[in-house]
Amino acid sequence: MLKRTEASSSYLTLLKFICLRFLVKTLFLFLLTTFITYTLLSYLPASDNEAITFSYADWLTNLIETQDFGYSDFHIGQTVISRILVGTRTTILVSTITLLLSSLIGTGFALFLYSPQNLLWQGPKFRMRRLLRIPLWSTIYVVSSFPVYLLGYFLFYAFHSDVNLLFALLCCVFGSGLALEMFRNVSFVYRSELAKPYIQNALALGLRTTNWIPGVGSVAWHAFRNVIPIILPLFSSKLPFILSSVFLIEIMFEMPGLSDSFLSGLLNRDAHMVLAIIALSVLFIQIVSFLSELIAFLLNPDKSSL
Amino acid sequence: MRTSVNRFLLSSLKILMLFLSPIPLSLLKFVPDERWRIYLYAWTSISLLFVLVMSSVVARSKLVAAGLILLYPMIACATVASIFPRYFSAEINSIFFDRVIPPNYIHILGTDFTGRDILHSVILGGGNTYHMAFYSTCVATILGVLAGVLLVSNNHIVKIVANSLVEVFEIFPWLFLLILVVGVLNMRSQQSVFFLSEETRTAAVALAIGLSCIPVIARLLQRLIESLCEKEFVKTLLASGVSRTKVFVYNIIWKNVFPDLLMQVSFLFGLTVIIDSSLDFMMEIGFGDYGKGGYISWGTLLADARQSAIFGKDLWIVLVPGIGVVFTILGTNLIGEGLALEHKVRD
Amino acid sequence: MSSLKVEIESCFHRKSERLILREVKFETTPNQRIAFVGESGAGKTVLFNAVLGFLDPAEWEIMGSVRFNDIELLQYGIKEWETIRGRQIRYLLQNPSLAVNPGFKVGYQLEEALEVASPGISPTEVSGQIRSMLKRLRLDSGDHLMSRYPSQLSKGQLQRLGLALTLLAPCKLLFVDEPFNFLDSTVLIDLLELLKESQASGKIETLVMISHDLNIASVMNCDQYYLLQEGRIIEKQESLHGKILFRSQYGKSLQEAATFLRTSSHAGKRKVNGIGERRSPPASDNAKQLLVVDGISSGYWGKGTLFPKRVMVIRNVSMDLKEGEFLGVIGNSGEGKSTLGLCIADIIELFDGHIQFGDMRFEKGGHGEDKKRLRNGIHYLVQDAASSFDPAQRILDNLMECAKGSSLDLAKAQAQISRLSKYFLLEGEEVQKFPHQLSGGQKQRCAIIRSLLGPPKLLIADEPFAHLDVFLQIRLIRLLDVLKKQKGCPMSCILISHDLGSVLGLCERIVFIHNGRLVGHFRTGAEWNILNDTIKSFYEAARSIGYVC
Repeated sequence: MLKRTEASSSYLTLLKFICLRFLVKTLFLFLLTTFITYTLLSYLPASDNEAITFSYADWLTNLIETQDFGYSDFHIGQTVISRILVGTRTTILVSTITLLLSSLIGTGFALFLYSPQNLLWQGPKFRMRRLLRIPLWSTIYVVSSFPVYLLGYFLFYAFHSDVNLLFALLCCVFGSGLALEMFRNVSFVYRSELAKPYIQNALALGLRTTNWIPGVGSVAWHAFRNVIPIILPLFSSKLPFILSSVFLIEIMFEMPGLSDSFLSGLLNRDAHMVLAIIALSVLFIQIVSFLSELIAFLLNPDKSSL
Repeated sequence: MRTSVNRFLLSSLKILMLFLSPIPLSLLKFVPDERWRIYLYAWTSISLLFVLVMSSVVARSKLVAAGLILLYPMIACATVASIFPRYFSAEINSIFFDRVIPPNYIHILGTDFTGRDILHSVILGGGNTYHMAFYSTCVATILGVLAGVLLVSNNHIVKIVANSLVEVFEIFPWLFLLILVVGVLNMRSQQSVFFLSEETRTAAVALAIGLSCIPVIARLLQRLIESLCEKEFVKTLLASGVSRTKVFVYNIIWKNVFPDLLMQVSFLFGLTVIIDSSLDFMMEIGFGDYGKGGYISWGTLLADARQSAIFGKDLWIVLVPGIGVVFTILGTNLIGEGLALEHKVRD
Repeated sequence: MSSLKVEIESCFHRKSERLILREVKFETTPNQRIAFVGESGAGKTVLFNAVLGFLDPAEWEIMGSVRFNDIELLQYGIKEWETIRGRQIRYLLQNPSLAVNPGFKVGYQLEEALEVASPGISPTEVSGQIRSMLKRLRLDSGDHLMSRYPSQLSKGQLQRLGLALTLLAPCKLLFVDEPFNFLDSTVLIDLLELLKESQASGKIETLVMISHDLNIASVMNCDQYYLLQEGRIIEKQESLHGKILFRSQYGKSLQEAATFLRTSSHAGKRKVNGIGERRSPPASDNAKQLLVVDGISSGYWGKGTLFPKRVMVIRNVSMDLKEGEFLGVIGNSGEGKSTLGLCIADIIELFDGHIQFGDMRFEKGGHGEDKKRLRNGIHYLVQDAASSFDPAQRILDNLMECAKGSSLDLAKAQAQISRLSKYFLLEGEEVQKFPHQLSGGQKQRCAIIRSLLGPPKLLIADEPFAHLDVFLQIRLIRLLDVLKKQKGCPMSCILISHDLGSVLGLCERIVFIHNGRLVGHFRTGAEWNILNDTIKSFYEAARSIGYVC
């Protein structure tokens, strides 16, 4: 009477299908975004020499043949990769840490504020938690409503020139409403999971409710386990936004990153540089979203739904 | 208990109205100083309208009322700037050079590093920011609703095409796209390839911001419509013989999707303000004079004020546009939350 | 030996400002079986929630005391409750198939449930107990089941799994909150027997159950029956030979209604309030053929690799229906009976075969104009009435929209709505409310009203008696009878249910569906020659509750 046939073979085919879909999508998006960039760049006014001397097809064939983004137009003789290597590393590092931090903070706050203890309403801790909810929520709210650069201003003002990576990260995390959006999304999904009937059953079975951190054998884990496959793709979809904020932060705090290469590339009509940076960012975003989709698929018990 | 608090609020609002409105507009012509006359005209008319709107909103939702209060500075700036366009723009070419004056009688909020009157530039900048955010939100909403509706169509080809378009704009980081667009435009105008009027610039940037915000609305619409189509009541209505178009347009879109959409649009407005001011900030810092073209918005003001933040003196230059931006974003977020709360309470 | 002493003076709901429970006092002794019976809205579930601590003090004000072994439960904190809940007091919820967490493997959930209840138990004990419970509940045990996820089980297996989770571990006090509506008949019989066995063997010391169905409550042979009406305990009785002899007026009418429902399926007379009535004659043999279904297959579009692919639910089903005839479709949940009804009503696509309704013939991909006439003639009553209303509109607007869609005369529809809502005991203003403000039973009645507007030539009713109390069920049965005997345009009906007993009294013929195919076709009143095991299990289930003698 089982609905599905042997699980393992369909599992592998689904996995293969996900990888295939990722590759097709990446290729397509890569082509489209670089084409849009190229079109915009081709409108750059010419100075002493032509702005763009190569065609899009040339750039593509060069990429396929040499796996290299070509030579810089402005800094003649140097490859694009060599100029932006250090910057790429910094930007990727800062973006990843920002993504992880803001996801953790948003999730943590959501778990804390809406823990299953609220379903039981007994004891003095519940009242304290209820009272704590409003000031905590409003603080996150107000802090996340500051745009990234304003937070940077405050830090400049407070610490003058003694700024380092940590403060830049703080800016990124809270600025642009990132932690707030994570918090909102996670709390919405978590609350709707906690309202489902199997949580009521878990409470009736006597599972632990005293901690808000989902540990094994607690009601929170029962709910959270079903929340993870839903929120992982959400997290990774915020990465483009994070990249933009990181860009701003790099300029403000004068960190070596992709930002100044991008801006100088645009000013100096260095089309190869600009195309390379866009291509690298798109690849980075796609890889992160693929990883999160893969993890969500592996964790999702309903293997038939893609 | 609730009704008595509401009544109290309403009566205090009426007192406020009384406080704000007693100067009949005709009496204003007796004010000697032309500048003060203009300020008072503007302030009175906007406040009257605002209080009228508020009194109908505050009884229903406190959050929405609070959000509207926070949005008041921006709306005031925008309205004033459009009522008196020549007055405020003329003031920019000030005769004071390189003198930073703290707030005083002549210049209410002081002057900044290039000698402009801060109040005037804030008002003008507020108008520009508001217009940019409004147009971007319109573009994003219209195109987003279209894309969202196409995403749920039964035709597979249409779905794939719409999906790829939306995904492109999801992937492309908005700052990169916008810098490219604005940078190219400004560089072309700088080289006198064509003359970049402010309308063209506004249109182009609004279009670009709207395009990069399409996925927000499109994905929301896709999610909502798909979850609604699964529900039983749609099947029941179809079974009773109600036509498919009517079910889609009336039941699904108008009655059920529209409130959520409204909420998301108010969040989107805040998002576009952030994007627009970040873009202007970046253009100032990154391209300096090369990218300006005489355009003022809150983002450019904040970029100009960098010196005061870094060195820690003359802080009022940063404070005014900064407060304006923060209040606007907070205000739209609160309105969105208030709408969400009302919608959930109804559920 | 544990005892529970409940003395609730009042239980007040702050938001709606209603007193839900009044002076509810009862006491349990070990090895006792207690049942609370009454109509829906009498406060039975609220009573359970109050005793188990699931009520929010901000919304509810409870005055009184609940003492379990001399511990005052109403004052207990979260940490203390964790020593009691799951270990000494267990709670079987209303819908067991939803009680299973879809994110964890079956084996993991069963082991966790057992380990939480009896900490320090050895792993061999755990697997032994799980295996015996699964065998008892007729879930095929073995490593296959334990490593599967709930989404890979059938609905019947899910129901049994939900029961297993709660009934695995021993406990002192077990609260059973009428799961009977949501269980298949075979699972129901297994559950009742399992409860009796567990109590006899000492695994469960005291059993407290809720039921709104007196027939099932009397099958359980409880020691005490408490009758609740509007939050107050009206009467306390013991059962005698499987019959509860209530003395109060309300109790007597409840018992009579239950007996009527049970015996109306027996051949012969029906008594309604003391007046004997002949069983309504079957549709005459020269009545017109209304519906002919020939070899249809239907299903839904599942997710394929690139494009959706077809998933067949029913295969090659053929049947026919005359005017004025009632047909019963019986099957376990998830086997295709709802799909059959949806397909005939043209709500889902027909993959194969053809349907003949009156003089119209429909095949795969028919014409639009004819389909409209089809929809006007066939009305469908959905299984889940709660989500079948547009949540953003009032009920009345919902109903009028459907009337407009069916091209009915609006004034006549309005008159019908008010008449029917009075008949089903709905207040006038309840039709003006939004769906989320009504209870499940009220929504079910509104859905019934909507499907009866017209009235249609053919009504396909999917579990029409769910969420309805006995009195309302009788009213619905009477109304269907009247509509059936209408001269000129008698209404035919296809009644879909998972419970044989509830449709035996109404239908002339019964068909059984198993795994998407039609497996049996019988006439009521005649001798049944049952060869199929599934049909036998349905028949046995109906017999043990008393619907068939």
